[in-house]
Amino acid sequence: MPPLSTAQLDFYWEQGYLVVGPLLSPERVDRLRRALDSLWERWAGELGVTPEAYCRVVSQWTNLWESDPAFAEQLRHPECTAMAAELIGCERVRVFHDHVISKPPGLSGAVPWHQDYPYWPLKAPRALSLWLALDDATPESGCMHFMPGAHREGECPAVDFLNDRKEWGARLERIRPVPVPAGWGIFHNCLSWHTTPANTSAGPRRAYISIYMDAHVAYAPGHSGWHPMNARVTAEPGELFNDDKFPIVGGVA
Amino acid sequence: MSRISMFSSSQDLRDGLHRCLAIVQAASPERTEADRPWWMALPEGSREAARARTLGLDALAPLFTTPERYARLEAAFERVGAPPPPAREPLEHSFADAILSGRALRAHAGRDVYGASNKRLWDALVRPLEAALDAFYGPGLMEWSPDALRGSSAERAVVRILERLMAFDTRPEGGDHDACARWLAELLETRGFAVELIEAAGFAPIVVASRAPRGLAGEVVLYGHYDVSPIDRPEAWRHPPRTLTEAEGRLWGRGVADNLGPLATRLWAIDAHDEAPALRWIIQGEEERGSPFAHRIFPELLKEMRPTLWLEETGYHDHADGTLRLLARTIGATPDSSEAPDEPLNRLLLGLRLLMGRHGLATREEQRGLNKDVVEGGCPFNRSLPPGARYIALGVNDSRARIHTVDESIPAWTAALHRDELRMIFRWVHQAAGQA
Repeated sequence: MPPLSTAQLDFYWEQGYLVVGPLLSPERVDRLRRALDSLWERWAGELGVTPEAYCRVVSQWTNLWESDPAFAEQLRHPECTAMAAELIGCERVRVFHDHVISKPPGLSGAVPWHQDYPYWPLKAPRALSLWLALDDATPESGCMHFMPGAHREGECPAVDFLNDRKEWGARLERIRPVPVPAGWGIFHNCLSWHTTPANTSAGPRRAYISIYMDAHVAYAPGHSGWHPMNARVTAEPGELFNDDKFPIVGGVA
Repeated sequence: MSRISMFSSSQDLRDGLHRCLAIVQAASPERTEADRPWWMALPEGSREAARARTLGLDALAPLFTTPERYARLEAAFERVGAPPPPAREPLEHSFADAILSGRALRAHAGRDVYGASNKRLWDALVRPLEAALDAFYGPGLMEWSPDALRGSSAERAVVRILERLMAFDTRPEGGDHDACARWLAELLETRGFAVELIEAAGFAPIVVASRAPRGLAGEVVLYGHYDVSPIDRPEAWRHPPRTLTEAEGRLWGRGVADNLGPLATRLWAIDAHDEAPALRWIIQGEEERGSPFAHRIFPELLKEMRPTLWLEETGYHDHADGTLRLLARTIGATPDSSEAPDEPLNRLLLGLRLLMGRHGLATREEQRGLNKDVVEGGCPFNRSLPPGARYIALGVNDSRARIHTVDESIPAWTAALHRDELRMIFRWVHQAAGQA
């Protein structure tokens, strides 16, 4: 029995994203938050600053699954990996990487409209992200926004977040904010155009994102200019990713 | 405009901050300080990294944020017309944040991975300086390209003009002065100048060429001469003195430095610029025999001229390292006297320092005119400059030019630089004339 309905699959293919929820119990969300707090405290201490100072800007940390079992467990969550495989249309999914993106209140800016795939060293766009809200994500706190259906127009050059001057014109009239409560997830295609505005709320906006790809997608460093994950790849270009750093974590049930 | 990219924000920022420090130094009000490389003030252990532009952000931060350095930063911003930088304390915080992000990225592959904190510093320091420089001098000064400029070969168009000029025998004993003046007049006319030949029996013609402004305000009077000095001991020359030779990265032959090479370079360079202020070009043909005709004509000819800038026949670089000698002054109460450059002229000198710095070249400002002690009776151009005139000597020669002796030559690499100098001068003239 597939974990997603035909209607959900159709929505994902047409719109480029799919909201699913609740995916995590409040207890599981709390466990991930505590794991993150613990990591932040440790890392801040290593650099001799307070956690507040360490976390005062829009930030991202990758491969948390290697640092705390709570994230490793979430990454392999059977229901999530099965949904990812369904949506990609593959049997087994491999982790490209995971990351937390934190937008602290009052100190954040917008992340420009972009697609993810142009940054990734993957041979084909057979990958997606599962964006799990660790806090309620609202338009005020910087929830995900999509351009529904734009993924079907294919890949565009990578956007430089510090020099984004792309004019969208009438397209911006059709954008869709997608608020979700903590514990809910948004799957989005690696070609989906998405953005998050600044967090103007009084609370944090943390999200844990797992990036899954078809286990048979080959490493293609030439596809993107540079990616921090390249340093973890021991496979040759054209070969499958090495399992130690890019493990196969599940698939269709 | 240069830019900071999310794909290279740390490197982009460090490059920009090194360039900012060079600008702050060049904007020093005291000229020996302005000419001194900024990194010379650092402890000896840091100089090499600073010179190579590899200082890390933690080493760069105090160079902007200590009270003494911040005061210099504020003064430099004001000098180049940039809005005031952020206050010292917020600037310190911005540096601390960017430094922390760099450390976190290296230690935990995390925190501000898109470079937003680097961008904040860029927007606070690099961008406003660059915007102010671009607005005043034109684009490009914030870039840094210590490229192969000094190894570049001669501009072919300059070579062609120079070969043609050298074909005329304009030595004192030569007979081609009239023909050379007429050829120059024709060439100047093709470049949009209205040309008058001032002639008198027994004298070489004086070429006076004028061109209306092309999109820029102000006026420049250029000086030059088309005659060359005699050739003693031609057998002692390494290359035949009467024909142009390209060798060893230089152009060789009688007159190439004094003054045919500078003349040819300017004829080429002026044609390369679409925009220019009004130009008046005075080219005489008897400098090497004491300028008898010019001494008679120039006082009256120059009397009514009040250009924004008087540009001498050439100027010099040091052969060893390419350092540009910035010979600049304002004319005092007596003819040919040298007073300190006024504030507008100082802004031109700042721009020229930055232009040289962009190519990794130093400058050395001297408050004087071009040395023409060898010219009998003095230089009629210099002696006719009115009080208050802004004067600068700038050109393609170097300290190995050996004018008036054997093996006269000029470096090949300076022509392109002089073209860029003229572009900057033209832009500056426009600005200075607008402020007058």
